[in-house]
Amino acid sequence: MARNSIVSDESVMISLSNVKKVYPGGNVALQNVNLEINRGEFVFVLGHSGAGKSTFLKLILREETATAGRVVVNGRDLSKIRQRDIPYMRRGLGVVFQDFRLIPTMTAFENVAFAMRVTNISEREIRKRVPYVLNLVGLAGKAKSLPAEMSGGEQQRVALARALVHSPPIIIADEPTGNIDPELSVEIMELLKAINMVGTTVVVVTHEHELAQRFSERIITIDHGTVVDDVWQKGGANI
Amino acid sequence: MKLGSFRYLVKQGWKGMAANRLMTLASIGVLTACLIITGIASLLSLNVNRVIDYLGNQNEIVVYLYDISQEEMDALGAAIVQTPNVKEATSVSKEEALEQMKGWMGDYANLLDNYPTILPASFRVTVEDLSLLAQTNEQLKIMPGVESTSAPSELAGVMVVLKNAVNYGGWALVLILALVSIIIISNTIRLTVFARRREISIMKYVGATNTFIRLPFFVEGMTVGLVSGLIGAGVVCGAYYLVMQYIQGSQNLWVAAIISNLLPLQSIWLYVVLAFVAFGLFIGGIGTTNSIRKHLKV
Repeated sequence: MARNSIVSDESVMISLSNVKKVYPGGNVALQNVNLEINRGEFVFVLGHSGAGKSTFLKLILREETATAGRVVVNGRDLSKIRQRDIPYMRRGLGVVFQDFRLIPTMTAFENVAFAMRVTNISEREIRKRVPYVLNLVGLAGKAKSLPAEMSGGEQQRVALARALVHSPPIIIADEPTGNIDPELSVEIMELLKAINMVGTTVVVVTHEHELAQRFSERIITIDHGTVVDDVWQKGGANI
Repeated sequence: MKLGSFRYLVKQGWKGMAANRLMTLASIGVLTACLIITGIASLLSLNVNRVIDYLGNQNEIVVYLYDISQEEMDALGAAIVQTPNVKEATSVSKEEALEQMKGWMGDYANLLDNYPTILPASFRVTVEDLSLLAQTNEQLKIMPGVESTSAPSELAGVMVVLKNAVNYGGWALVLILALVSIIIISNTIRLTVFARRREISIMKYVGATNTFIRLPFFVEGMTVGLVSGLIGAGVVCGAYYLVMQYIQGSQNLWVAAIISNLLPLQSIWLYVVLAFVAFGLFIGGIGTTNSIRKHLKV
C-alpha cells in the first residue's frame, strides 16, 4: 500500500504524539513527548543545554526520525513522508539559526535570493520578492552588503528575510538572539511578533528564560527529554 | 527544472571550479595523464594485435599431397575450405612449386631442370584462430590424398601468448587507471563539497531537492572529465602522428610490413576523441556520485 503522509487537521501546525527519540548508542534524547502547536501561535520552547531542544528541532525539520510516536508538521506525518518529499515539506518551514548561516560570499540580496533559486523560482519573481522581504525586515538599504559588513542583528534580519521569502506558514527560530546584543535581540523578537501577527505560526527554541517570559504567550519547557511544563503567559491558561 | 535554474546550477558548478582552481587544475592534470596512459595502452594493444594477426597469418599450414588427379585435388581443396578454423586455402601445383623453388635457388635453379616433378602439389592453408592451429593441422593431416603437413605450431603458440599478454595487460592497465581516475575525481569533488558544506546545509533547510544540490558538482566533475578527455585525445593523437611519421621513414622491410598493418591516424582520431571524452565524462560522473552521496543524507 502506498504511504500517505498527508494529515487532514489544518488547525494543528505541529503535533508530537508519544514521541521518543533514542540515538544510536542508547542516548535517550526525548521520551513520551506530547504537544500540539496550533496555527497562528507564538510559542517558546524553553530548555537548558542538553534538555532535548535540538532533537525536537531535528525531528520537526526531519533531519532525524522519531524512534517511536508520531510527528506531524504542517499536515504531513514525518514518519511516513517519502525521502523525495522532504525538500517540499521544508519549503513550508522558515528556519532561523543562532549562527545566521549566511553565505559569506553573497550579498544580503543574494543570500535571500539563494533560498528562492534553490526552489526553482524564476529570476523575475526573485527580483520582485527579495526587495520586498528585505524591506519587511528593515534592510532595504543593505541589499548589496556582504554579511561581514553587517552587524549581528542585521545578519539575523537577513536570515529572517530568507526564512520569510517563501511566505511559510511556520517560522522556526533556533536561539535567534544567541549571537546578538540584548537591544538587537528585542528588535528581532519584535520582528518575529510582527510576523506572527499576520497569522504565521512562530516557534522560538531558546534557553533564555527571561526572553521567553518577556515575549511569549505560551512557553513549553523541556527537561531531560520530556515536556515538564506547558503554560500560557499574560493571562493564558495552562494547557 | 526550469531552464533558468539549470543555467544557474551550471554557473554554480563553474564557479565552484574557479574557487577551487588549484585542485581543479591538479585533477585535470592527473586525469589527463591517466587518460593518456590508458589511450596509449589501448592503441598499443590494438596495433600489436593487428601486427600479431598479420604475423600469424604468415604462419601457414602446408598440406603436401600424394600424386592425385586434378578432380581429386579440387575435391580435397573444397573439403579443406570446409574444415573449421580454415580461413583460406591456396593450391600450389607441382609446376608452381618447382617455379617457386627455382626462384629461391637463383643461380642454381638449373639443378632442378632434370626433376620436373620432384616437388609435390600442395595447399597453403591460413587459419582464423592461431591458437587452434595444431588442432586444425591434425584434421587436415588425416584427409584422403594428404601425404603430410607442415605447421609452425611452436611459433603460433608464442604468437598466441604474446597476443593474450598484450590484451589482458592492456585491459588491466585500463581498469587500474580508471580506478585511480575515479579516486582522484572523488577526492576533488569531496574537497569542493567540504568547502561548500555550509551552503549545502542551507540549501537543504530551504527545501532544495537532492538533484538541485548535486547538479553543480556533476557539472564540475563532468567538466574536469571533458577537459581532460579533450587534452588527452589531443596529446595522444599528436604523439601517434609523430611516431607514425618517424617509423614511416624507416627503410627496413620488416618495419615496412608492420607499418602497413598499423591503424592510420586519419581513421582513428575521431574514435580516440570520442572515447577519451566519453571516458572522461564517465569517470567524472562516477567520481562525483561517489563523493556526494554521503553528504546528502539529511
